[in-house]
Amino acid sequence: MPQDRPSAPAPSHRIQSHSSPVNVVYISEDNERIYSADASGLVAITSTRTLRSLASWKAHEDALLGIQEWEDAIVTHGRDNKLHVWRSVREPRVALGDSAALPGLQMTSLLYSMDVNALNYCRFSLCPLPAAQRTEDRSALIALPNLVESSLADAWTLPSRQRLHAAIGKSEWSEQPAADGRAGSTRGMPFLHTHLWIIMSMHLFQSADAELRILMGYEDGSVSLSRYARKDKKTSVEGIGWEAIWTTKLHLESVMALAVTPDNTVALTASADHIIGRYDLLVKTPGTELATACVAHKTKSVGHSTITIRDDGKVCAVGGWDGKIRLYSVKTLKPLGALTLHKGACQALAFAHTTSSDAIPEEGDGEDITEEEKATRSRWLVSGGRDSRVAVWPLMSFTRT
Amino acid sequence: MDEERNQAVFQKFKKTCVPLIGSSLITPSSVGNVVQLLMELTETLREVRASHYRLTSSLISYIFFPLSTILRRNPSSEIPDQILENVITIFTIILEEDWWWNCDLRTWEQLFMLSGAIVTGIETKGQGKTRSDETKDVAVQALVALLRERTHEECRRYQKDANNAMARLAEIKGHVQGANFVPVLGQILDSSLATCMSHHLPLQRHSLQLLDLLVRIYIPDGLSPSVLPGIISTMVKVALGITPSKLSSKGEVVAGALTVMQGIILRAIGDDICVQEGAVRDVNDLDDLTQLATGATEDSAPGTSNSPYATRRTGSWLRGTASQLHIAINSMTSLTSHPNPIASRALVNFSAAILNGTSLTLPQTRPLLLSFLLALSLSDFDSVAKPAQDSLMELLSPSSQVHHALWQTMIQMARDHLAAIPRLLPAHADAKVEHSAKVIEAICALCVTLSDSSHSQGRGLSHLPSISLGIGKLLGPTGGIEKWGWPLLSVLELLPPAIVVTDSSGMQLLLENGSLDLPATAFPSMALKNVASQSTFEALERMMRSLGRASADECLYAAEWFIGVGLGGRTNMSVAALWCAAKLLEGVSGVRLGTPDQINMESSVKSNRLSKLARGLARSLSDLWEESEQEEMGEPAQPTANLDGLQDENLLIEYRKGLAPITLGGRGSQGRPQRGAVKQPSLHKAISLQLISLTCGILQSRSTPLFIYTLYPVLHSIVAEDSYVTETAAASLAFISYSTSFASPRNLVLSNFDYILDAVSRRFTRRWLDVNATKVLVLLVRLAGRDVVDRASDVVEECFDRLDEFHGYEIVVEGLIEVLLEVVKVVEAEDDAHVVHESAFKGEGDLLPGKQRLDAFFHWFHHRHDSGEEQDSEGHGPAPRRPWGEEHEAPKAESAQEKEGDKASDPMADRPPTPAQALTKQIVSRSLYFLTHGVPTVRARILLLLCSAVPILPESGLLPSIHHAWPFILNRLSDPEQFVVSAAAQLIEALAKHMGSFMSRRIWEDVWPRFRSMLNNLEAADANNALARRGRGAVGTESSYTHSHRLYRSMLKTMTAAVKGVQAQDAAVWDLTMSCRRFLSIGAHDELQMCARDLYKAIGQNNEDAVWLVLSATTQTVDGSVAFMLMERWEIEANVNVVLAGLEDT
Repeated sequence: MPQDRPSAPAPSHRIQSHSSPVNVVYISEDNERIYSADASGLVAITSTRTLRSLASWKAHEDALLGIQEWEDAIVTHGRDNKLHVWRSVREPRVALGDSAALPGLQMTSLLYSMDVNALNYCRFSLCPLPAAQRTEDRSALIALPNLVESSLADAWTLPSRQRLHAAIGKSEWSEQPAADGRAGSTRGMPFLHTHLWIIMSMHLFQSADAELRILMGYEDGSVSLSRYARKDKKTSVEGIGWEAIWTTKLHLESVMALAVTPDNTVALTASADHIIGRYDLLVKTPGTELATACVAHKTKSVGHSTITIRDDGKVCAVGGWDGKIRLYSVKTLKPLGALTLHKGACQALAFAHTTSSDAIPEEGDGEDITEEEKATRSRWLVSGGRDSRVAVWPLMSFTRT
Repeated sequence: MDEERNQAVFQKFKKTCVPLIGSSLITPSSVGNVVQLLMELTETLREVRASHYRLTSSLISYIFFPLSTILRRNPSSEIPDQILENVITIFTIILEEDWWWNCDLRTWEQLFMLSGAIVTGIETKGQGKTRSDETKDVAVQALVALLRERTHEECRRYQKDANNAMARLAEIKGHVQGANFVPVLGQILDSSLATCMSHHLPLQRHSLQLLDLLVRIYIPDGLSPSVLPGIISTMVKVALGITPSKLSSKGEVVAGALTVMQGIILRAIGDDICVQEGAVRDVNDLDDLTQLATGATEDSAPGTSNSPYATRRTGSWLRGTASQLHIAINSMTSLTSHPNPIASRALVNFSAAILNGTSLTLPQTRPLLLSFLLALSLSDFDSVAKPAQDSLMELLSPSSQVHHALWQTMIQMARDHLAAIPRLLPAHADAKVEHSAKVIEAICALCVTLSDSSHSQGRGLSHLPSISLGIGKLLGPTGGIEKWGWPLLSVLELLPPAIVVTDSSGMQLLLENGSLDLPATAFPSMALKNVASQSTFEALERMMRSLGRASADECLYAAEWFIGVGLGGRTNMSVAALWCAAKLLEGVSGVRLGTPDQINMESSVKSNRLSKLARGLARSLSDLWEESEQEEMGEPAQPTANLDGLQDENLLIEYRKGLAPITLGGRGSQGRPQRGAVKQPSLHKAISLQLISLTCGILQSRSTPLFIYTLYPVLHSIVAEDSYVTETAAASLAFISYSTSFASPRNLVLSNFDYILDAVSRRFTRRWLDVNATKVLVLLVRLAGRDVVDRASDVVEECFDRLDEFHGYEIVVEGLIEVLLEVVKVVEAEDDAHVVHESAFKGEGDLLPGKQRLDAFFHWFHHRHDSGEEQDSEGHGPAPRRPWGEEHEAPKAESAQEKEGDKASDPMADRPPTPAQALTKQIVSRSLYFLTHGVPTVRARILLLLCSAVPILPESGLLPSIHHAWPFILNRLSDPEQFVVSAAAQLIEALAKHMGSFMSRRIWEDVWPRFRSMLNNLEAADANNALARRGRGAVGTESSYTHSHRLYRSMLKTMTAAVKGVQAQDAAVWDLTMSCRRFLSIGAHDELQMCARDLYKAIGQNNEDAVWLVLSATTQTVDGSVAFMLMERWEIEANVNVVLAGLEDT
């Protein structure tokens, strides 16, 4: 490593909330709370200011697959085939009457839950709708594996829990299956699944022209981007109306994780092999462009279990089975550094969010934390590992000066 | 009635006056008589006076007559002092009374002349003798009585109008100021100046009184400038005690002298008179200004110049006089520390009066006088401080004429004194430093009082910001702190105190017994290298504090600057900078570091800016602890270089004071930075801790989020080696817990152990291993107990990783193992962690009759392949014992377990390990490798660690490890170090006790042979041991704390457990029975006897006969064939009886 580059940091804090392998970590949009969940179904919410648990409860009977804060709710998804939505927990107002009494843990309450299919370990994907499209019972869409067929996806609405689109990806089965995925893509035809590969990871989003799209990573290492082409009907069944924009297979092993930049332009996939796939989501038509748009970058490490992209879309972090966290530039996949702490595989990663500094300054307790500290905090990376450790890493900004 | 009374009084006087006239011519023989009569007369006068009788003028004349006769008939040289004294005393008494009011001026003048002559000594001129001081004193008193103005009360007493008194005074004054009289006046003045230097105290006092009268009332305006220099110089001498008598001045004398000075200064050079005479001009309004501009130098007022002795007040005169006067007043600086409050009060009045009266004429003296007032306003005496403050307030209030000038002066003074301190400090000028510090403090205090009073009274509101602003400016961004800050820092060299008074319990004991409820201790103080006296140091401290207090938020800039410098390094300059910052912040926040009892927490609202600064400060200070280790490791060469430098300096055996040595050339320039670069890491730590505490004091309950950063440094310092740092840290902890309203430091640590654990865990990484962090962790584990243990597993794991990496470094290994031991101890202390290991063997062979035994064997033989696990858990699991016949139910139970998943209900299955057990298991399995560590203490510690882990762990967790490590454990029994052997024996004992069936075979086969040889060796060794018991048949050592004793005990217990555990071969048992006899001796230690009895009882359970045989044969001759066993010298009879009786009972 060159001398002028600062050495990799040690974790600044460790959160000791779990005694089982940590599967999921997540940082709230305002960087105030860290969510972590483990294989025993325990969810812990930790304040980033005090680094103490705000709440800790057993949300699921089995390991957690995903957790996300969505406005005033927390969505948790477990391997016990349940998806729960909880009332969110906020930091209590600091020390009433200046007493030193430590506030106890808060209780959260279940708002509603859904029965889902969690056989394939695939995490849900939440797509909050823009304000204009919201109705009372429909403020977000959530993509989940299909209830019967793990290789298909469903899209539901929240909070009404209505299935909007069922079995996305199914309609393509009926078409002529290609003999081989690569051949298919060279012919300019969408690659069609010849086998029922289960979905490993997905991402539901709305494109710039408000078209609903879904990006899915499969067990065989392929990734496909589909769009809902029908304008007339809001709902669909049997995957009718969904068409694949492109499908490509960069990985030799199954896709373990998928990350998309906040502006939905670039996606990265990590897999058990040494490849990191980079996909340009703006490519409209499959063709020669696809070869340049979807690139397999070879890394020097094998076995990646998770990947995440920072808000600014410049840096990504990949957690490996060797417990190392490797940082790469999103654009070039150039390695930026490696963080070493976890002894088991690093199974979960989350970047803090870049909060705009001109956000409304909080009155009252706003001075509890300085702007500088906020800036530092927005560069945090949180990692969770099989060794049941959750660590907070303060990173440099990686911006050129 | 009156008539009668007059008559009576007259008769009284007549009694003495008549014989007095008779003996008016004094001869040596009549002196005694006259004196007697005079004294009687005096007495009578006093009596009459006490009865409030007013002497009529005729009566006065009657009394006066014999006295005047005496004076007239005798030449003055003939009159002895005594008589003269008495005569004049009588005059004085009469004058004090009514006579002053009505005697004619000629008589008055006569009396004046007479007294004056005595005082001046004219009267005895040329006769070679002078009157005694007593006589002069009386004469001076007479003069005072003649000149004194009468008070209103006296006027009332004599039924005179105040105007009468004024008129009379004016009459006398007119007479005195008459051109003819002025020389007399001058003469009197001169001689009273002489007498006031007398060492006769009453004379001195009365002379001062007289001088005051003369100066204040009688000296003509024109004359006063002429006499000013003389009076001032004498008065300064008097006030300072530089009189020929060499006595230090009494308070009253000082006060008198000051009053005289005040009088003459105001008369001679006061604003009014000088303006009047044109020496200065008072510019009050625009007209004055235009006059000034036109420069119309009007001719000085005539009229006054016609007096022959007068001096004209001109501009040049004023300049000259003023500077002389300044020098004179300056020399009185030392009076500010006069011990007598009367003197101090007089100085207050003097300063205030002069300030008020000479604002135009003596501008350069203004700061000086102000500094007097300021210094006095901080006096310990309320009777001094209060008037001083009042007069300052008076002077500075807008109603005062001079306040504009004073304000400016005040700010300038603050600046100057601040600038002066860096110069004075290295000069060892303690007194001056203290003075400067006090002045600054007083100025600041004044701001605070003024602002307070303006809040309460609303007066001076428009005015008050100016001074606060002034101070604020000084410390604010425009104050040029870079200019005055560096010099100050370069001379403030702090040193740790020579002696650190630590509490008797001490921090090391804290590590031993885990009590953190320390008594609240004060922060140990520091000392300044250049300041010898504590009071000066305290004055400096107070100065900084009051600067902070006065300038409020403005000074945060300065504080930040200081902090910036302070965090830049660990040199003495950084220490000084942090010290300054701390004191400033103390001032701003009103928080004072002290013991919690002394803390006066002002619940004032802290400004946002301050809170913000405090928060940032706490964080950046805590970061110091992150860097420190690396830095200390990084520059090992630096301190030695400095040390050399210091040694070079110390070679000069001389006390250099005042002047900094200047060496020419390159060396000189090297010298200074070296001085500034002395590293003081421990002091830096201590002051940082103080600042951390301070931030907690400022933020109070809002500082809790900062505990993430701040607690670790404090705890880390508690376990530091430097006692000064330790003590400071203890005080900090107490202070922090107090200011964040925790009941005790222990509670604080308990509530925030997660933060500390987090900090500790960060210091266990590969890149950063802090050896002291292990100590913190030990402390934490001790305090927080199980909570830590539940969450410490990854810290422990880190411990082991570091152990693997640093196993060559003894100190690291020791520290880490200490942590592990502590963890295991805590786990052990928990009730629910105990696993019941039931001893399996109860002599089955004897319990079951032959047939059943065989059946049981067959049953076992058939089922022996059923399941390994079952076999393993058989008998020694936590299950209650059950008959063999029910054995086959076990598989059922297993299936039931699968069905229900209710593990607790299945006694045969191992319960899942609790976090504590898992942790212990982890510790055990990983620590085994250290059994062969090169350092014996580590080996012993690991053995003890395992020993404590035995009772905690379930067998499934422990036994594989023990099995794996068995050869290593066994080999420790032949370790060269005794204590390792003893530890190994303890481990084997614990194993034998808790898992007998597993161990017994190993014990009989592996351990016992070793034990036997060890017993033999020890027996031989005991003979040469100084600690061995004396006496016939004595066994073992006197103390129970020797290794050999422990070893014996462990062996006996181990073997007891082994005997209980398994049926051994008879030969081995026989061997054992024979070898351990000697421990039954009454000469052995009680504990050993007990263990031995237990052993024999245990053996007796299985083999009663053998025991009987051996024991009986040892005590008495049983049979010829066993006679070799007889050992009477051991005297084991008593214990044998106990053992045998015990066996019969069962």
